[in-house]
Amino acid sequence: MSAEFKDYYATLGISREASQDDIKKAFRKLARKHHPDVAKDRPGSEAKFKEINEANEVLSDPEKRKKYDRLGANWQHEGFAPPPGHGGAGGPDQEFHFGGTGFSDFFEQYFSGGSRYGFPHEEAPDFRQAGAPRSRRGSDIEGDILVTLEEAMQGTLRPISLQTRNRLTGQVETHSFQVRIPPGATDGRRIRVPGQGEPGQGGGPAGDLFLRVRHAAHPDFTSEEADILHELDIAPWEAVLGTEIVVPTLDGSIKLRIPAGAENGQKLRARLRGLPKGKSGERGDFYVILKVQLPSALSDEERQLWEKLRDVSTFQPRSAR
Amino acid sequence: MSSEPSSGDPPVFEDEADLTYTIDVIAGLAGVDPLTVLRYQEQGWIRSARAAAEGDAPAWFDAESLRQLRRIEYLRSICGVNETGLKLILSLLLEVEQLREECRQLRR
Repeated sequence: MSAEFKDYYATLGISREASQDDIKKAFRKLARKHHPDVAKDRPGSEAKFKEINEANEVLSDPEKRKKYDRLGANWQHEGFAPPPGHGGAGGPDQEFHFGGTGFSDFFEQYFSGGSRYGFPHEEAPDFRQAGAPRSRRGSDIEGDILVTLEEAMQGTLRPISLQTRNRLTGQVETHSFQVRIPPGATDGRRIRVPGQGEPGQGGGPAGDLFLRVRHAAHPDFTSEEADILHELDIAPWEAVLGTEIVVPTLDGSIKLRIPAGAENGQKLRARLRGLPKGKSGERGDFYVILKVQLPSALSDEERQLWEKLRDVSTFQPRSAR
Repeated sequence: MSSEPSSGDPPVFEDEADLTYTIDVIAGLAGVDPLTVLRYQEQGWIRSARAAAEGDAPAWFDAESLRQLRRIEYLRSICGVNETGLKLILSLLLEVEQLREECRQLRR
């Protein structure tokens, strides 16, 4: 169960010294280019999109990034022992391995929330009555599954494989199955896959697999429960004078009216354009967050107009309240 | 929870989010006594998906409560944690999870 080292910095095309802001920018640029909805080569871009997402997941998290940087330095010497304190059981006990979750083997091994709850072989209490064979339920296994916002919108069927080492025979067993990701699967929500955890012992039932949904980062949207958020850059005069702008949502564009006197950071809501809420037919909302952008390069004419505005304006941003 | 081994395709697991269990079923799935479930619920350690309705209608539990129940049993019977320790650990686990989610949300 070995994994290939991933160079996340190369994936995002940034240096090891890149700031958090650099990472965000690089991710957005690449994600926009390779997003499965826009790219021409769909299958190829999907794999690429996942790679970019994974790199972003690790490098945008200061803790994971630190760990990754340490790992990189010792890469050749480290071997492939899972790090200590990893998940619920950790250590050599953690002998399972996912496929199809959208994360690479490398990520699974070092950064995922994959963990095991249950009855580690050695520590199991001896409830056995004299002579009776010990029957024990297998451990539950927990892991993350990367779900794009589009998948969360439509729902999808995901093929998963799980390798576990049989404690009795030492053999690696692979189980393949498909898991339904329901429309409206929110970030953090767990999906229970009964009987796909570790095998039981002595005729005991197998444990369950709990897959935690992780929404893939998207170049244009983020999610908050069933709501979708979109940051929209606007010009100062658009904020002051108001305007209409066509903005993308997860299912088609909407025409958004920005009221005159809109403020930077203001949230505008389009009702019921977010993710579905379960089977109820209800939906979350779509929020546009206004980001007023200031021009940096000015033509002579523009400069004159700003100067004129300065001279004429009665606006006093620092006036006493 | 349906398996379709017919065509040789891997079995499909349907989403169970809307599935709820009675106290007896969830106790059976976790291998504990229903009274234990009731006690944990009273302590606020596991939440029911749907609270006991008016009258004496029983509470219903979901997959999240099942996971929590199994974690409690793991801490109690394998790690040998007593009730005082359990209370502390469960509140810490909850807090860590919430903080992690908050951090994640802030980074996005």
